[in-house]
Amino acid sequence: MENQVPLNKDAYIKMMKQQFNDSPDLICKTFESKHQTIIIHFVNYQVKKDYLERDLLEPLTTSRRPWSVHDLQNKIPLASSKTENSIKKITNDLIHGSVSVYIEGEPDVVLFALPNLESRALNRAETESLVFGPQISFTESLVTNLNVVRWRLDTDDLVVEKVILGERIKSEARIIYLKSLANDENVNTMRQRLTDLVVDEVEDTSVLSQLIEDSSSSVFPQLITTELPDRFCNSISKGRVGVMLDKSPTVLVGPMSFFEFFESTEDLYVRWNMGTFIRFLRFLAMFISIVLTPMYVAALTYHYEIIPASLLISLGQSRATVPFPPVIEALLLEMLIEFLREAGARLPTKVGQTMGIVGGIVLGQAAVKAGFTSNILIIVIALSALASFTAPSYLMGSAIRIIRFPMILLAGAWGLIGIVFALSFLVIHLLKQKSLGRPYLAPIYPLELRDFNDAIFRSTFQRNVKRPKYIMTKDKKRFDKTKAVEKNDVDPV
Amino acid sequence: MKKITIIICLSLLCTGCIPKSYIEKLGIITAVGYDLVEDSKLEGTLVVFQFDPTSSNTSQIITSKAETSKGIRYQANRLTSHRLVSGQVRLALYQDKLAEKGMLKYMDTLARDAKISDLGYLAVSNVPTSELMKSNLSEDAPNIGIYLQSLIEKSIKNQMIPDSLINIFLRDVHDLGIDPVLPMLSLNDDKPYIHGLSLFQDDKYVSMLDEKDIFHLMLMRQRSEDTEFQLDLPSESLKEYYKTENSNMNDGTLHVSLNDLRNRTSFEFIDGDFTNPKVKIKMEGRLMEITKDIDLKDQAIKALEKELEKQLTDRLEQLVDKLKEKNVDPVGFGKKFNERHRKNQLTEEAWRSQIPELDVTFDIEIKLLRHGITE
Amino acid sequence: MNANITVTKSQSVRAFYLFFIIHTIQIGAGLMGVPRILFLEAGSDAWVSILIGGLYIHFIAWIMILILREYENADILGIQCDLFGAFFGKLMGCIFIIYIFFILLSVIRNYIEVVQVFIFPEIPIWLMTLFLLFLMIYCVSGGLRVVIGTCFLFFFLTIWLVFTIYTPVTYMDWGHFLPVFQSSPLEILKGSQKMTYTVLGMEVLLFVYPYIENKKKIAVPVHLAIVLTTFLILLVTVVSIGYFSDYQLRETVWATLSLFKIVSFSIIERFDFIAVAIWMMVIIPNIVLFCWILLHSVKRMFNFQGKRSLYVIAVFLFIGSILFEYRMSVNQMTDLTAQVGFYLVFVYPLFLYLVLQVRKIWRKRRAS
Repeated sequence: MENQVPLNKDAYIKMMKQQFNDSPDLICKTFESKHQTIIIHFVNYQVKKDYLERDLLEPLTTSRRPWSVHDLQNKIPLASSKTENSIKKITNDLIHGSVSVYIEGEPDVVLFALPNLESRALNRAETESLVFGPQISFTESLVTNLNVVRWRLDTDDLVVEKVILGERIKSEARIIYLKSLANDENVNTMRQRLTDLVVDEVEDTSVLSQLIEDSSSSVFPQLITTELPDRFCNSISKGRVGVMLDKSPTVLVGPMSFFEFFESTEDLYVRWNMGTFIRFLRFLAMFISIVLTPMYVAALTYHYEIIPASLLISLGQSRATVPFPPVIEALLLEMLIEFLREAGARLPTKVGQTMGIVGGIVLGQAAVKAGFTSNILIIVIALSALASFTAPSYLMGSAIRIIRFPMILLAGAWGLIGIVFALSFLVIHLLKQKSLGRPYLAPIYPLELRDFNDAIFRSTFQRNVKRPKYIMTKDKKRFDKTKAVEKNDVDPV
Repeated sequence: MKKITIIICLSLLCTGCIPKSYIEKLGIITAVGYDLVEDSKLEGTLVVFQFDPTSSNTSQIITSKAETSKGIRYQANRLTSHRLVSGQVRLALYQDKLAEKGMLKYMDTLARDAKISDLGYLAVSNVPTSELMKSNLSEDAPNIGIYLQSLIEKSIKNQMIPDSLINIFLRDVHDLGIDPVLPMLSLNDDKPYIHGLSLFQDDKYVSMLDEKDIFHLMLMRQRSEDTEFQLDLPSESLKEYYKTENSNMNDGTLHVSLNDLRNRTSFEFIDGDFTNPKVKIKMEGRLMEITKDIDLKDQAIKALEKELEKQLTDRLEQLVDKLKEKNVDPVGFGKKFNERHRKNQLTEEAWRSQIPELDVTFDIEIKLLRHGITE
Repeated sequence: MNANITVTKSQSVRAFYLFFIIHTIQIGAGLMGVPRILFLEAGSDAWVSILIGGLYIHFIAWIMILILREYENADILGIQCDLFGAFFGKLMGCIFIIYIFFILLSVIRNYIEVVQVFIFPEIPIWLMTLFLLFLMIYCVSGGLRVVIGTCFLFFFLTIWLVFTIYTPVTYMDWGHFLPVFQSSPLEILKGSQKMTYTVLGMEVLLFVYPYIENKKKIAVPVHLAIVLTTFLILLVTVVSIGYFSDYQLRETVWATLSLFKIVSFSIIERFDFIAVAIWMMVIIPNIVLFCWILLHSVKRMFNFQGKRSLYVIAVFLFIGSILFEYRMSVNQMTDLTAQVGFYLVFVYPLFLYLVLQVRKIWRKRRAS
């Protein structure tokens, strides 16, 4: 009974104040006419004031007739209105930007939603930039994001399920997938993981992804977090399951395979040969990034035999002045690069760039001049750092950078044996990973040769007649082969 | 998580388990030379890379004396602040006097140590190797060891001398019925060069072969292709095809320079008799240069081919005579015989004793495919 | 014990993975030294031995498949118990377990030996053992799917080593093979027997069979795997015989690895170091598969719990590996295991098949 809207106006005002902990932001306006008393509540900054004045306050004050709840709902030109009789629910709605209209003596309160949502406009993507192709990125507002997705995936096949996450501070999440395509098991797994989640609060999708991932101890991300609507929609239309979270500018997609973290939608926008080339470049970059510095350390610490004679002199000469063993030297420089990256990321963009350049060049030069490091190591480290930034997924890029440190340590301790041990461990580790219960290394293991077209290479679209098997879509085929290949010759010979 | 921490701790603990070899602390031997001094003692000259912070000179030469090759390294280690290691040895030089006593006992460490590459070359020198190693280096090589190695490597690539990799040498020593050969280095004006080919009886150096004969030997060993060589014909031989009757052109010998494009050598032992081998050589070549103005018509070419065949046969016979005289068989007649005959396989002694009795007949066929852009 | 195993679909794998399973378990530590072993027996005609041996392996594989096809979904442990009764069946199972334990141990020890000779003479045995065992535990604890995945991926990570053998091929002396058939037929057959030692591990088929999804298609991958194995052994043996002289080959313990000593690239001067280190990736599928067989057998026969028995096996291996201190005893152990293995893998299936057939005829007679 506590929760009921009281019929007495003073009791009502008091109750509302209590509910809001005497917040100064709760505005209470009382209109007393001859026939009745109307009380309006709203939270100061949550409501669009001009709409409120024009569409609600004006009719209310100018009308001479007494208002009833029914009239309010039908004669006020505002689209979303509803009645509510529980104080708790009213409070909740007010927080989210509604205006409550109370007529003394009525048990129901009419609520008009006039939320004044603070969100930035759709901007260019910052963290995952594309050279060409769509440039917008998601914003923090779920409504805007949903709007963008609906606009891009213009079909009634699109399913949007609502889930509330967080025990104490709630946020709204949406599971998004294509009904006729997405594998039911995947959808169920995703739904299950979200609904089973018991946490105080979910701050962001990146937090959410860590909470629901299969193995949270691995360095490798198992779900893709992206801020690009085109990437998100592309994954959805391939048959994957996406998750959106209010207040978060990024979205989640799963299940993902390891190789998709090296994919960018740009591969689709450029021609197939270029796309394939770039994709292989990224794999190569990953390999170089992981192996190059450890190899340097191993060769200089243990295996002087494998250094070619032509390199031996320049290596030896530059090493001669360095006071530390190669492991420490390499770790120091790797640290330097990480410092630069971190400093560049924290500083404002313009300062950050200068920092990076000045810091990189000046420090590197000086370090070599001072005999602090060998100049060949500078090349090696810079190359492997550069290579690690080619990963389109920021999380994968940082995972690769992190892996390097233990690898360098192992190379410093046991040379080539250490490196091969670490690589073997890495491969087995990847084999053991799963993404939403699906194998992480698909389509290589389990092997689906046909899916290489799509997942490893980027072959022509005409070739991808069938959908990748490892995604396990309900619909197996994309289109009819004959239609795709057939083209009319305008100029017959 | 706990497991991983334990592993990391363990790994850090064991870091000390393997001795490290930082390259700046090493003296990396790139070439070694062995000389015989005071009848039984060995003198070793090591060409070493070592890197010091202050000096830009990376190359060092260390000389030491001992009884064995490992002993030399041990002795030399006392002469330098860097630890001497032999993982980058690319060249081992032996003085001819030392090689006469047999190479194998001085090569034991080269063959046994897994750290030593099979990519290294062997060579013999007819001057003390210490002189060779200390010779003046006019070209832009980082050190004398690398210079000598690239000299040999280039010559092998260009088919000027037979391959002299350690492994090939060892194989030829151990294979029955063939004697190894190695390049012979020498000094000319304080500059090292390839003087000829050293002939071995098993692993013992016996004699040197002139640089001219190297090609002929390689022709018979079937290990050459795309080489250039010269033959001298008597001046009268092609007289009828001279373009002009210019008298001074007709003096002296006729030099012909050929490019051997393809050759096939086959062996046959008449009546299954080792002492009576027949060597068939088919060669397709290109005329590079001829010192007389000859009208290269079809008959002229035919005649030239005939003359060349005759001349080559002469040369080869001379070479075989030389080999017989020294009782060596670098051609591998014995090996060829054993490969072709199931019965009466030669033993080491039988082969060696029968070498002087060899009576080789040659059947040579030369085809000149092209002769430049002029007719 | 029930002869047949019930396997759910998610546990089973497709038949073509058998190719990788059989091939990677056959190729391992044995390949490093096989040229010398064969050469000692059959001389320059070792290649004939390999061909004969290869044919025999095909034959045995065929017999194995025939045996397995008699049952619906059984492995060797179940079949033995079904044929010989619970006691003798389990006894044979124990022999298998002991044999596989020792073969696993010899694989680990032989590889450590190689690392000590080629790269780090000073690396402690216990440390290398720890490395390999750590990877083994990490992998096997993931279950059969991860084990097979390991075989599959590591096959591709290492098969490219074959191409680097090109350089020694250019230095070969084909004369070393002439005249052919110098060795007596007996020597050649002995060589074949020795060759089978290096390809032990085919018995994995008898254990892994129940987990294969499409059992009708197993013959092709199995035989292809054997073809590839035979080809690789043939390749390294032929190249070694051509590359080394008679005397050298008798002296070179790990001829295959010594072949890499002449391989050199512009950025890596000495490829043998890389090859020996990468050989660890050739060894790992071996270790994991054998370990999985051990684990599987122990679980099936004595119902031991999976994780704990894995750790127990690892501890035993660790102790065993340290106990074999000297080179000779490693060789002795390897030889002994190989001999037992020869009878277990290449003779025993014939006997098993015979018993099966006899029982079949006997049952038919009784029925009629």
